[in-house]
This record gives sequence, C-alpha cells and structure tokens, in this order.
Amino acid sequence: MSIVIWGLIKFIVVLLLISLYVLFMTWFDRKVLARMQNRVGPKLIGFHGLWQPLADGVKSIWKEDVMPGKAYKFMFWLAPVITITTAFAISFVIPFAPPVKTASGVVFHFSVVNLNVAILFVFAFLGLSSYGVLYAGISSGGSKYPFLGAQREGAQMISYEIVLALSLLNPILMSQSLNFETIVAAQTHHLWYAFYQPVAFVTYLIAMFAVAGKVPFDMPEAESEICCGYFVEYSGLKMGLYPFAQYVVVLVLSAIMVLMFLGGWNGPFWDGGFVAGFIWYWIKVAFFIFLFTWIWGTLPRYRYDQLMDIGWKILLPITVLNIFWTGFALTIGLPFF
Amino acid sequence: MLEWLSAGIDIVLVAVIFLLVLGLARYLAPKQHNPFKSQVYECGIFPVAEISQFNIRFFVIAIMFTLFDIEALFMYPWALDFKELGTLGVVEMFIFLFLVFLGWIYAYKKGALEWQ
Amino acid sequence: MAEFVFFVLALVTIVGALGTVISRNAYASALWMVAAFLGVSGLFIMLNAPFIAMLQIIVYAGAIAVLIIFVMMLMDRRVLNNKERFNPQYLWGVVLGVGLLADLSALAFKFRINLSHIGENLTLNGSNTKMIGDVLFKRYLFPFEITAIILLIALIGAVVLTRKDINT
Repeated sequence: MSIVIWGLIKFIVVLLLISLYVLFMTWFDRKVLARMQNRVGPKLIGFHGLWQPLADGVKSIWKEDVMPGKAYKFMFWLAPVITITTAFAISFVIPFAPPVKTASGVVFHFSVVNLNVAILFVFAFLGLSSYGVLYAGISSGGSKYPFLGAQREGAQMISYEIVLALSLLNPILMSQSLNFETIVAAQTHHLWYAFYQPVAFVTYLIAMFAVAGKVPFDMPEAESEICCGYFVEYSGLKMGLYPFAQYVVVLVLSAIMVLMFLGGWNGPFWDGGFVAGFIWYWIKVAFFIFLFTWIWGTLPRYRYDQLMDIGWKILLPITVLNIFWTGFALTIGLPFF
Repeated sequence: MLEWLSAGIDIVLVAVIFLLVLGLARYLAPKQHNPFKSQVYECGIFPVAEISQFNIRFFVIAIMFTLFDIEALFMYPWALDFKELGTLGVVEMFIFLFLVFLGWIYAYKKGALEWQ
Repeated sequence: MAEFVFFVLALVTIVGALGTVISRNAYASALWMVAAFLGVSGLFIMLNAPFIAMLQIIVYAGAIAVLIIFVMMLMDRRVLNNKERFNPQYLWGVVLGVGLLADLSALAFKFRINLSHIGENLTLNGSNTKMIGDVLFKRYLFPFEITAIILLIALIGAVVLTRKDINT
C-alpha cells in the first residue's frame, strides 16, 4: 500500500515540476529562437521576459471556448485530454534521478512507478497518444486543415514508432532488461551503448524528432501549408494542451535517449554519489532538449513524401540490418561486445 | 502489482485533473455566441464543402505499421532471453527477420512505399 | 482490494464493449473499443502478465484500432453519420456471440477453473517476458516461423490489394 501512497506523492511532485519545466521551456524556446534570428524575444514582463509564459497561461484560461457547430462535442473535449494524459503517463516510468539506497536497505526510485517492462509501457502510451491527434482532426466538424493534419500526424507517428522500437531493441539486446535503471547499471563499467551502437543511436535521434513532431519533421503543424494542422479549431486552454504535451514528450524522449544510449547518470569522470549522477544526468538531458530548439532554429522542414521515404525506405531497413549485426556480434562474442 | 495499480491511479488522476482545469476555463471564459463563430476555419472566407476524402496511402501505411509492429514485438522476448537461447535462438530470429524483410523488399519493388 | 480493482476493470471492459456496439457514431465506437482494450490489459496485469498486457495495448489499441480509424477516415463523414444502427448482417453477429458464450461456459463448466491461484505469480523468477521468450523459441519454434510466413503473406496481400491505386 505504501507504494501507492509514495506513487501519489511522487506523481504530484512530477506533475508540478513538469508543468514548471513546460512554462520555462516556452520562454526558453522563444528566447533562443529570437536570438538565432537576430531578434530580442520576450523581454517586457519580468526579468528578460521570464514571466511571459505565466502571463500567456493565465490569459489562455480566460479565452472564449469556440467550437465548430458540427463538432462532435464529447470527442472534441476528450482529444486534448487524451494527448496530455498519454504524454504524462510516459513520464511516470522515467527515472528523474539515480536510485538511492536508504539506510534500511530499501532502494528508493525517483520514477513515479518503477516497472519491469518500462520500455513497453512507453511504447504503449506513445501508441495511444496518436488518438489525441486523430480525434482532434475527426471531431473538428469536417474542417479541412485539422483533418489533413491529423492524417499526417497519425501516419507519421505510427511510421516512426517502429523505427523507435527497433532502434531501442539494440540496447535491450545488450543489457537484456526492459527496466531503465537496470539498463543504466549495465552501462556503468562499460562504454556507453552509443559507442557500441552508433547506428541505432542515430536512427533513434532521427525518429525522436519525428515522433515528437518537431522541426524538421513538423509537417502535421506546417503553418504555411495547413495553418497549424490538427488543432486549428481549438482555442484557449484546450489548444494550449497540445504544445504542452509536445514539450512533455520532448523531455521524455530526451531522457530515454540518455538512459538507453548515453549511460544515464554515469559521467566520463567524477563518478559516484547521488549528486554527481544527478548533475551528469540532467546535463545530458538538457543538451538534447536544447538540441530540439537548436534544430528548430536551424533546419527547414522536409516534404511529407521525403519524411515517409526516410522512414520506410532508409531507416526501417537500416534498423533491421543493425539488429542482424548486433545479434551476430553478440553471438560470436566480438571483443567490444 | 501495486506499482501497476499506482500507475493506473496516477493516469486516471492526470486525466481528471486536466478535465477539471478545462472545465474551470470554460466556467471562467466569456460566452458571447455568434453564428459566425461556429463555422469551421477557412482563412476568413466562407467554407465551401466538408472534407470527405482520405488518401488511400495512409491506409497502406497503417497496414504496414500493424505488421511491422507485431514483428518488433516478437523480438522483445527474444532480446530479453537472448543469452539463455543462445545460437539457436539467434538463427530462429534471423529466419523470422529474413522472412519479414522479404515482405519489405516485395513492397519496395512493387512501389507500395512510394509516396506520390 | 483485488476484488474491487477487478470489478472496476471488468466494468470498464464491459461498458467499453457495450459502447462499441451501441454507440451511433462510428468514431465514438472506436474510442469505446480502445477503452475495452485498456480494461482487458488491466485484467492481464492482474494475472501477472505485464508483457501480454502491454502487447494488448500496443498491438490492439495502438495499431489495430488506429487501422480501423484510418479505414473509417477513408469513408465519407456524412455516410458514417447517417448509417443504419443495425445492418442486415446482425444475425451473424448474434450467432457468433451466442456460440462463443456457449463455448466459453462449456469450457468453464468442464474444467472447473481453479480459483485458488488468483493473483499469484506462477512464472519463473517473476519475469513473464523472459518466460514467453523461452516458450516461444524452444517449444513453439515451428508455429513461430509460421507466424513470420503469415505476416509475409499479409504484407503481400496488402500490397496487391492496394497496388492498382498506387501505380496510377
């Protein structure tokens, strides 16, 4: 029973911290993008515009709830909630700090729940998160842009989920575990898996951007083509939940990247202890979160057919061949494996 | 078991919390209805028709996804049991992968992966 | 406690299944179906089978239901809205449903399901996924390879059925 109560406490903490992170990230994204484009960005409200996201959030609560007349009301309301729920559900299995052994010998985990099949849990809820997008398009009352955007995002997400699943299979093959903490522990006295699996690392990196729907793969939201895609008909807070969920997914995918390929809380030097692990872990995660913003400000958007070609014709065979290679190398026992 | 219960409770709680927040926003927001507001978005002009078409290629992608997803999931127990299964398991998996890969080559040659 | 959770999950499953059948809107139907799948996966977790539970969500809720929604998106929205509630094929559904129910009750009656193991973990050292790998790759080796051929045939079928449209 205490697990459930601890889970609730950790859940509230994670909910608050992630909300704070999302508020900060909206400011950070705007500021970094502005600097990259030689602009100033938000600067009026608070220190360098730091209160801007809070002002935006409060304002969006008081926005009128506009809905197309022919919309399916129930599904129209449910779609953003599905999106945000699945995004948070994934974050529940991510450890936010190295586990701590308390004095009584019990290991305290810094994830809301510590599951043995954590990676499958992630895939399950990534798969469900496409419903939020699909139903946003379906329920928008026959509006064209949401429908097109939902089709695109749905197809994009499911295409790249396979690439994601097949790339993550390589670290799992090497560590034989589906639990993040065990996988990190398997990398402690080794090289990180990114060095054994450079191909899987790169394919995961590309698939990560596509699954999160970020530039250069943000076709579903292409402003210049389909006016922001699947949430055109949404307004106020309901619309705000979509970028909110996207930021959560960005955090979660970056954390998985670090846990699976970059040794989690192991550092190249200054190793040991909770504080060192915590700092190393968040430095790496922060780098990948910054990478999302960096690429947003740098790269143009791909075309949709190019996206599908990359996913189905290049990444899919590469990941399958890479699994062949990993299995082969592990079986004959190559010196580095 | 309790961890799963905890996960389930937390997931339901997130949904409830965000539904409550949305409800609160609806309660606080102004309501000035106007027939033009309930029209669908069309860049400022009157919408002409509803969308009713869907490209069949999305459907092909969905079928391919289902098949490859099942394939990927078959590999997870294999990956976990890799050491115990040994060489025989690897050979079995390679035959499996090869057969599915043949399907991919067929789809590629027939142009099912083309996006026009 | 376990009984309460079981009844909640069973309720979710049954209400989801009923909603799938009764709902007038085809899209809402699909959503109810996903709810039913989630309930079933919860039941699998209660049986200490987390891998099967996740499989249930990933394959059924995440892939097959998405496929069904894509098929519905292929159809005209207005056709979906005005469809007849009971189509003429409902008799087959009734026959199949009653047959399945009779079959399951006959099985339950015959084998007298042993209720003393409810909620116990019967797998080797707790890892269900590993156990499945063991069974799948040692005992059911041949059926497993047959599965690959079935997947191959399904893929070829999908390509052949939609090829006409693609090549134009």
